[in-house]
Amino acid sequence: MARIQKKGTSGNAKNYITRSQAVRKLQISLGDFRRLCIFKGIYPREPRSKKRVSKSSTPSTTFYYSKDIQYLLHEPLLAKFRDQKALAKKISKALGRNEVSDASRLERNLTPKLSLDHIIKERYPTFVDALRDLDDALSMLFLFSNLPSTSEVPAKIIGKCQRLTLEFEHYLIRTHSLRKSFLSIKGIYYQATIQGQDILWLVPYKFVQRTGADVDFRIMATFVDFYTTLLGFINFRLYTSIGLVYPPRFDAKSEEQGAELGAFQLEGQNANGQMEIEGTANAQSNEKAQAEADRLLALPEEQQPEQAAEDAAGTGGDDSGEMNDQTSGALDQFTSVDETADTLPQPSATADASAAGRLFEPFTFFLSRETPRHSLEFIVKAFGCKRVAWASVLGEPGSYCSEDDLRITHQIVDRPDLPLPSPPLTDGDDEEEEGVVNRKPNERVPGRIYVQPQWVWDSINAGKLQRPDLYGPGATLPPHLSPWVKQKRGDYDPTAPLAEQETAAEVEMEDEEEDVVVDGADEGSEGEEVDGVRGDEEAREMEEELEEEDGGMDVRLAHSDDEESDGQDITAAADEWGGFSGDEGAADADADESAARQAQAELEAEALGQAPAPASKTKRSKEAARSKAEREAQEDVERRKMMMPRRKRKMYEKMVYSNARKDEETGKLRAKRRKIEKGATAAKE
Amino acid sequence: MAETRTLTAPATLSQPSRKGKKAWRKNVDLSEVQQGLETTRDEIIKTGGVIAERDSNDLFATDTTGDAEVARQQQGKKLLKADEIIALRSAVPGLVGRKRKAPESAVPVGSSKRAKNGSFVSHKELQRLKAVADGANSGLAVAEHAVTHDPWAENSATERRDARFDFLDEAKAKKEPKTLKQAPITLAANGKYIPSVRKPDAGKSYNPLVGDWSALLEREGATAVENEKARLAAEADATEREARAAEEAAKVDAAEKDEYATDYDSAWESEWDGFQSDAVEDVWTQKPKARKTVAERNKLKARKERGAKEVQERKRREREAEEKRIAVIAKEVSARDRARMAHLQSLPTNLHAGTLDSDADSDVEGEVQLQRRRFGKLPVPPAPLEVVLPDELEDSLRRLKPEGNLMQERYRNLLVSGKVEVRKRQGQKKQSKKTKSEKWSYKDWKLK
Repeated sequence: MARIQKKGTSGNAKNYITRSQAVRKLQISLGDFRRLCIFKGIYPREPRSKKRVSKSSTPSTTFYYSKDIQYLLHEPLLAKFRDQKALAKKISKALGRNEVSDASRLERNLTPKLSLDHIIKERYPTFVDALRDLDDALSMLFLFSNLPSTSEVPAKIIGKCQRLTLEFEHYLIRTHSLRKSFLSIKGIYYQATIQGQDILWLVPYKFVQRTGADVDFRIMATFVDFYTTLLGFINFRLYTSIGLVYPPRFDAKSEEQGAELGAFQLEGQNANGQMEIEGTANAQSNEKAQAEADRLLALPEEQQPEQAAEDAAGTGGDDSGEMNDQTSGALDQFTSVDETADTLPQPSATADASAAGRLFEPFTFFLSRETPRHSLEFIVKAFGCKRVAWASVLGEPGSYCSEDDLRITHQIVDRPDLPLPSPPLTDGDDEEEEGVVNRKPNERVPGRIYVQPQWVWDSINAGKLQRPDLYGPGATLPPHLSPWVKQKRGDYDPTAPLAEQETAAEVEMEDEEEDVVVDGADEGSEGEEVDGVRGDEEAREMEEELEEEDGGMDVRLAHSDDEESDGQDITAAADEWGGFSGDEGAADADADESAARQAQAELEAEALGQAPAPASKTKRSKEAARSKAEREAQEDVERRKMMMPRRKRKMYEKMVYSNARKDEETGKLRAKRRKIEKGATAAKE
Repeated sequence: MAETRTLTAPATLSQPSRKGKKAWRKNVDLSEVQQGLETTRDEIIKTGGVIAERDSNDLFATDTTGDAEVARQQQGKKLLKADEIIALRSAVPGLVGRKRKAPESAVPVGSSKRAKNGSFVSHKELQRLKAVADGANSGLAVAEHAVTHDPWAENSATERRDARFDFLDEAKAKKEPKTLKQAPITLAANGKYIPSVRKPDAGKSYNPLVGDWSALLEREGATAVENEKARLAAEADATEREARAAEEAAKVDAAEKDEYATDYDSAWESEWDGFQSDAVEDVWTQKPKARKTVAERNKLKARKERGAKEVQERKRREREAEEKRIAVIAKEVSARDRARMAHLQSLPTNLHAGTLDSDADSDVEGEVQLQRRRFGKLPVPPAPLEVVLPDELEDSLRRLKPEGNLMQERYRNLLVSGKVEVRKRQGQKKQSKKTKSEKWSYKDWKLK
């Protein structure tokens, strides 16, 4: 007979260890154990059966792998914790003997300090591993760098976080590796690509952080300790990889005055190991900028405003003339061979650094005081702009020029509307000097483009400059779309032009409608209605009346919240969003109307003894062909469905149904857009 | 009496009654006019004309010289020396704010007398030392030193061994266990990796597309309604339970009141004083149990046996049914285990297999279904609500009111991704229990 095994000597009972056992084994306090686990990346585990693992009667809740804990025994940090314990004993002994100064000396000299350097290499064997975990680190550090200092979060930690994150941002600016950004209601999302790794992080808005009640700050502080060490090493590696000296020179005085990014001065490392200070494009005493300014002043004054913008664009273009040629070849687009296959992910427009670095290169930005300066400065610089100025209330140092400067090409404002300047009272030569000085506050400076902040974000996400007139001060902005939401096949995409999304049937319908309009124009003059045939307008009106009646009755009968009443609530898009039902009705009416007209025309033609119009014939034949193809496809599907097992058939039917619903929705959206676009073109004419 | 009454104009105030013949008088009150006339007549008598009509130059004189007496008095007064000194103030304004104790770091070492021999320790410092001795300083600080090396650089410098000890085997480095590199166990119900920063929902844009936003609002609204319903149900439950408890308590109260027929308090008092009011003896409604007969015992025993047999039978049937499907169950279990292990053993390199551009659903923000089992007994705190209400929807970045709480979100992410277990916030520590007792010695006295 085999020997009877003792309970708790093999299997899960041996593989797992409870938390209190682990603490006892390591001989440290629970708090220290927690910190150690966070530093070393030892996470709680879940055994299949908790009952088999713990020997105690009280249910244990947290388990660890025994091997992990065993390995922790070799950890140098553990020695530090034990040193501290020994020190506490020594101090207590000294205090007991009333040797207070001895106790103080012991404490001063013997308190151990933790060093996490070796852990970084251990936890992230390669640099890419470290980059993969950077999203959490960056979010945490950016969050802490925006906190107010409290007893739980001392100012020292905040300052450290700020320094590290700003250094990281400098790297992104230098390498143009920022790709996307998104203004969400919680904060600003950024995505950068470093060494092929996409890193996404979230930065809070300024001055809004309320520290939550149910947050354990000791745990957060431990993570921050670890992540600051990590980001320090990552920054070191990133800086040295592009030939810069780390840490960059830090000017504490200008930092105090509110130069955030400007407080750092990057230094390049020469081939022979010497350091050289990189020219800061931002400095006021920039020679190139000065030369340009002098040239501008020399220009005849009536040209000045327009010329300024062009010149600014020109100076950018001069330097990068050959670069333009070189990078004009766009990135490859991936096309699938099979038409029915899923859409392939395409490289985004800003996917390469050189394209990203040229987006804002020719411009000079001015940030008004109501705009988020730091994020705008960072983004604009990361996308190639070298000259950024801001209102002096946002921080004095680092600004490129003052608001009145004529070199500014874009001013970012977030105010209701700015009046145009009144015509100059004086004329002649005096104005050249005084025109700038006489400007009233809250008045536009001629010769620059005023845009709202969203323009910057939409431009970088689209990879090309957006139309500034849509983003002017006081304008109703187009919606800010998330760059990470991918359109599924057949979904309505507000960013793509309508022509790309329309189905064949819709195109034909539209053509028909247009033809009808043309026919109507032939028969009667525009605006008049042909006898016996109701015009589109009238039909639409009638339809709307009917709709209204229905809606009214609905409301009266059973206070139902239908689309209409919802639409009234949504004020933001009230002008666009009128509910679906109205449009649908109109479209139906149109269809009926065209059919009626068709019949009428045919009758007339017959009466005249003519053949019906050939155009309509081809149209009809086309339609017939399409319907025939459709029918065939339908039959094919039916046939295949019969071959399917029942469960699959059910699933397929469900799929078809939900797809049809979705198509219907998107069709409605497209119809609305078509209507709006038509309205816009009509208004233009 | 008749002589004293003078003839005056009619007035309302002195009118004794409103009834009678002369009630009309109440509308005629000439006392003001009368008074004015008299004042004017007085002025004319006293000053020879109406004052209001006269020129102000006739009424007032401007004194340009000043009072000589006052000037003389002022001249004679000499300033006190003390006042003179006090008046000598610096043009620099004084310091504002109250006086504070300088921090110890600001005071130069050895500047004060007691610090001369270098052994002075302030009280505050002493308190801190005591705390350190008690093990309070467990949060060891992380050393801050400048980053001077790249941990990921290839180390070309290999350790040279001492030639004298060539014959010795190389010491083996401690190998870390494979389990150390396993990804943490997420709390997601599907066991999938939850990225630390999930891609934002389209509806959470500050200026969203209406469709996206309304979808988000609807979703959040539905969950909020559900939560509210649950809360109301729980509340109703609690109130009902309370009511029931109160009812029970009232019953007990009534019984006690019945027991001591008179006033509740006084009954106790009288008992304390030593005499019991003639309280009713306890009445037992249940009869004391008689001894069970053998027949009864047998009956009970038989019933017990029958029950046990039934249970046994049911279990057996269940087991048989399961045995029949044993192959199916085994397959299920192994499939589950395989999926689980595949996830668990995915090293950090596989962890992020769903890179940012891949179509992982868990990447995009939304509800993550959490599993019921978790580390510890405490529930995971709910995610902060992040949705803009219709009346707060703004299309300007300036007027945006940020939603949610990033600190909470970060913390929750740590919990949900299984990096740390849920902890209870340690509030005030439990004080040692103190019991109060009265000493009765003061009662030990005797009337002499």
